[in-house]
Amino acid sequence: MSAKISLDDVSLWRRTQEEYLYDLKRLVLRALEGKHRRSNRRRVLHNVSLTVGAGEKLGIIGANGSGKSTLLKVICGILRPTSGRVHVDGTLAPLIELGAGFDAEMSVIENILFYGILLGYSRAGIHERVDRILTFAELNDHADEPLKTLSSGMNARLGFAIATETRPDILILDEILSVGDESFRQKCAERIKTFWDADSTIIAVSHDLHFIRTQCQRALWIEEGCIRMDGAADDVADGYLESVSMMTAARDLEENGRREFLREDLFRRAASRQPPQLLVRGRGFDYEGTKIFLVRDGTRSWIRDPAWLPAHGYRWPDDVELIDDGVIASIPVAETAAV
Amino acid sequence: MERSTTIHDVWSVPRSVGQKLQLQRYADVVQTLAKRNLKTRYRGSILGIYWSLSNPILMTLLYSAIFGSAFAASYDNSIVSYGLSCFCGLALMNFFIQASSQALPSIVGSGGLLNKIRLPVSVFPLSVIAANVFQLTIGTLPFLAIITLATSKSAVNVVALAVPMCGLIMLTAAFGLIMSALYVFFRDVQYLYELFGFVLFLTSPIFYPIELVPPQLRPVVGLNPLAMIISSVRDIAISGNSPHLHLMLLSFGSGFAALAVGIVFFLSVKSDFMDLL
Repeated sequence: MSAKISLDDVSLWRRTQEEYLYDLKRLVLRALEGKHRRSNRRRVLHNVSLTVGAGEKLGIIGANGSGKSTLLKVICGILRPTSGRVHVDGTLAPLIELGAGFDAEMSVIENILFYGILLGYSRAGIHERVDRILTFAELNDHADEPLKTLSSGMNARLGFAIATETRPDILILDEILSVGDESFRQKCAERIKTFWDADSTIIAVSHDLHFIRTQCQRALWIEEGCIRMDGAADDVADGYLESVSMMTAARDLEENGRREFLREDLFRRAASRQPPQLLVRGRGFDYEGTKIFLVRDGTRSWIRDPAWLPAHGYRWPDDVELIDDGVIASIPVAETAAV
Repeated sequence: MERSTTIHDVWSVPRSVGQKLQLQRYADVVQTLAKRNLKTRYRGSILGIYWSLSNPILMTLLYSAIFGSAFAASYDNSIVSYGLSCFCGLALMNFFIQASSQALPSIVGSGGLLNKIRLPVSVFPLSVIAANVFQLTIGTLPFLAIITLATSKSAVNVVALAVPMCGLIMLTAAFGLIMSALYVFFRDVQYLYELFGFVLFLTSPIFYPIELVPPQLRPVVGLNPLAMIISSVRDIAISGNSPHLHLMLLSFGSGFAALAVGIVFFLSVKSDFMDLL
């Protein structure tokens, strides 16, 4: 199988926009004050190496902001990698945000010609295809109307029709297309299916694991700009799911623990009509934005990091009343005020 | 399944991302963008382009009415000749300012598009320049050609007009490239550029004779490439003499040099564009 796409140790650093001064006057003034500093850069892709063979269907999964779309943009040539090499062999159709670049004031036909040329059709090539595109998008009756009179669904239909008018060697799908009404969605699905069945190489980004499992042979799991896992779609989807559920469980545990403690506490206070017996050492500390007290109340709590105790002059566990495996409780500020 | 090689031909996105875009595609994109630029400006009426002439003509009449008699001495004692000279300067200056300041926000304005479709960034400023060149060619240029023919009665002069005009176009393209690139980094250059345009307008001998400038300042004013181009065009179009070769070469050369600087600058900073769009 010949390689259609190969990424060789690709890394991408991007300037963080909010760090940057979009302002010449401020830059000059800062330089005069000697406060000039170089703009910060963040690594968005870390040493990504990837080979996709002809006809392969590759699914990409990962959390939001993990670098999936960035990776697609690098493959499409929209972003240039800071280091490493990208090689793409064959014609490429990026179906990323269809219709970006339409001009609302121009007519539908003019938009087809305009957008088609931007997408890479030749002048003659796009002229030839106008009729077929109009037919597929079901917009024959609106051909000469300005685009702004069309509904957003019609817009998306037009974008899809133009981008998929010829079958590319490589199809890039960012999120599964949900374009237009049900009947058009089916039409899109059919067209994509013909690409799928043919030997087009397809790279699809999706949060839909079922889709990845059933439609792709291979999957890539991206995490914080690195390839976390690359392999058979089922294995990668399983691995991803496991990691996601563990993370969710960990977060839940922490949140629920805190909530449960408060509930018990309130319940007890209500029952006894008096504040619970709490022994507070020191005046409390800020811990991750939460006021923390060392609490002894005879009921269970949950683990906080005891490592900060020595930093604040406490010896652990000698200075701390240990309850239930030596637990330190944390209560949000609002609640501690009552205590 | 029809699997033919024609797919490559019609889908002319480069076969390799590392490869340079074909010139043909580049030209197609520039033309398409320029067409859209003109269309949105003139809403399909070709006569709209002649509106661009109304400004220099009106200003010429105004300047002639106010300064004409005062400055006529420097123009063979003729207000008409002052007016023609004024018109030449204003038309060229207008083209320069309008085209380059329209090009200035072109890259930032296309940030969305650049993030979706792989396109060479330079098409955006250059298509704005191209649209303005088209407007210049069918609007101002015939006007200048008629003036030239009327004063010099020589076809050589009309043809010679092309040389400083090319210089002007290259100079404008250079400023378009540089300013559009700077605008990506500094969003306040738009105001600075307006100021620059005003300074340029006042320091170029457009509505006053160069003799008015104190002699010690004249060499500084002479460095202004736009003033060079304007005096070459005036020399060809209004003086009635055969064109001065060194003026022509100077205006062409300075335009060429500016464009070279503009291209080098643009290429050296364009790798940072995408992070800021």
